[in-house]
Amino acid sequence: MTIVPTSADALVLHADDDVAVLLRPVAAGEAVVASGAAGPATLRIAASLPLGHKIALRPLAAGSTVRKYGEAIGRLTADVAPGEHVHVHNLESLRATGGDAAPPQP
Amino acid sequence: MIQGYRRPDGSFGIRNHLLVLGINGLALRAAEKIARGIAGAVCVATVSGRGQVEPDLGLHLDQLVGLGCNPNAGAVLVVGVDDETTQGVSARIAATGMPVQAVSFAEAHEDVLAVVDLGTRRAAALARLASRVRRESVPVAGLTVGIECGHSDATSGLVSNPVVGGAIDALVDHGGTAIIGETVEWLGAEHLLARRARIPQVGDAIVAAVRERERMAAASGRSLTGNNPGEENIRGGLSTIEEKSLGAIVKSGTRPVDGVLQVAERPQRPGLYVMDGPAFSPDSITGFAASGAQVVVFTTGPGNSYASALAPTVKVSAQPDAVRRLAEQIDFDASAALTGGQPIAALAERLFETILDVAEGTLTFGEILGEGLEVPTRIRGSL
Repeated sequence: MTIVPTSADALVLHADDDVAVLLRPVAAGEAVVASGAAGPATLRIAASLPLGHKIALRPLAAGSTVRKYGEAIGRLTADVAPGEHVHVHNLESLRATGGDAAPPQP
Repeated sequence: MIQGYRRPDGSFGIRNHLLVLGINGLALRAAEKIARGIAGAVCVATVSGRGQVEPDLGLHLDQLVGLGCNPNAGAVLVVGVDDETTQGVSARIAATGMPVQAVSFAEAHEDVLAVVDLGTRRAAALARLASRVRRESVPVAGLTVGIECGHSDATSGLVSNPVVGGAIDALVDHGGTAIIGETVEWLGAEHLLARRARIPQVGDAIVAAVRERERMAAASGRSLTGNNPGEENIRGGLSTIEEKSLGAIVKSGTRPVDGVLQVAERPQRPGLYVMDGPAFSPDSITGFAASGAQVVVFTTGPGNSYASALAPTVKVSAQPDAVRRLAEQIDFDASAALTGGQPIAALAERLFETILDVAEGTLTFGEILGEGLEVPTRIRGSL
């Protein structure tokens, strides 16, 4: 079960994750501390974002699979810099795209 | 042990409602008028009822009968149009030992005033009968809890759903029953649910159910994004159905999955179940109530006004803004995990106590504000 540390600004839910989840609203230019499964990291925020949104932990390439909870949550449609917002503008579902994607195996 | 109302079929209720059950859209207003005439009556009335074909017809009747058998009803007045359906639904509900009476437009020669008059008289007698049942000690193991999320945001997967998951683990460990639905919100996380299946067939059924919803979505020719996740989800930071699902299934806890239920199907044994049903909260929660759930736990990010008419619906949010704005609508504030350093496990324990408290009579805000509704789901259009 996830423990939410209050000292951090953002949380990494799983060691394999590419993104951190913001625990509070953040302003552009702010340095935020992401802690959790992958250990603490400091990230410079590119644009103001609300609580709950995702930021990249490291440079991520267009076409790569993004992980949260240690699981695939989608594929990037553009390159993403550390601290940049990862959301519907640059992340698309791997599933429900016409039924051609195979489900993960149990 | 908790205090509940024992029912003839061996279950127990946590409320003791007179239920006025309208089983045909033509009888909806009459059912509402009858219920308004009886203090404390709960009205559940469908808008459908004619021109339906299988499998929609059977599913519709199963939901109406299931709602009529919900143990939170102490007696049921069935309000119908034709004799055959009215008697058929009444007989199926009465077979569980539930006190039932019926009134139909056919017997009143299509005179709505006569239907309301006859119905009010019969409902009054039933309300008197139901009031004779007293709360007594019943085992927590007899509780069935439906688990729902609606208008989820990132705090749902981060806090609210883990808190609910902890409470559901406690319920299952006490020998109780829990049901998670919304098949399309297993999509992308179905391998994790399937891995928890008690027997391999259950895991296969989970994966097959998700594939069928995925096929339905693809056949519509539209991407799920924008539909599910929807506008509120996206505003809350959820980007894809996979991300939403991975956060959503956490509310089922960590115990083995005992089976896959169809909508309105009652679990035969205690344990944790998944219901293969629609994701829209009214349809989904109605499925739980029709399968006998006495309580619903409903997580939300920014808030969601829906509540079951029959199963008190405990709203949970961890959104600091929502719990402040909606202080008289959110029943359980889990935001302390984000803002006050409260461990998830401690909140889960408190939520479990809240569920038992509601079971013993504490009112949810949905009950207080009279927001309860049931909406039987449909499979396709009528003839």
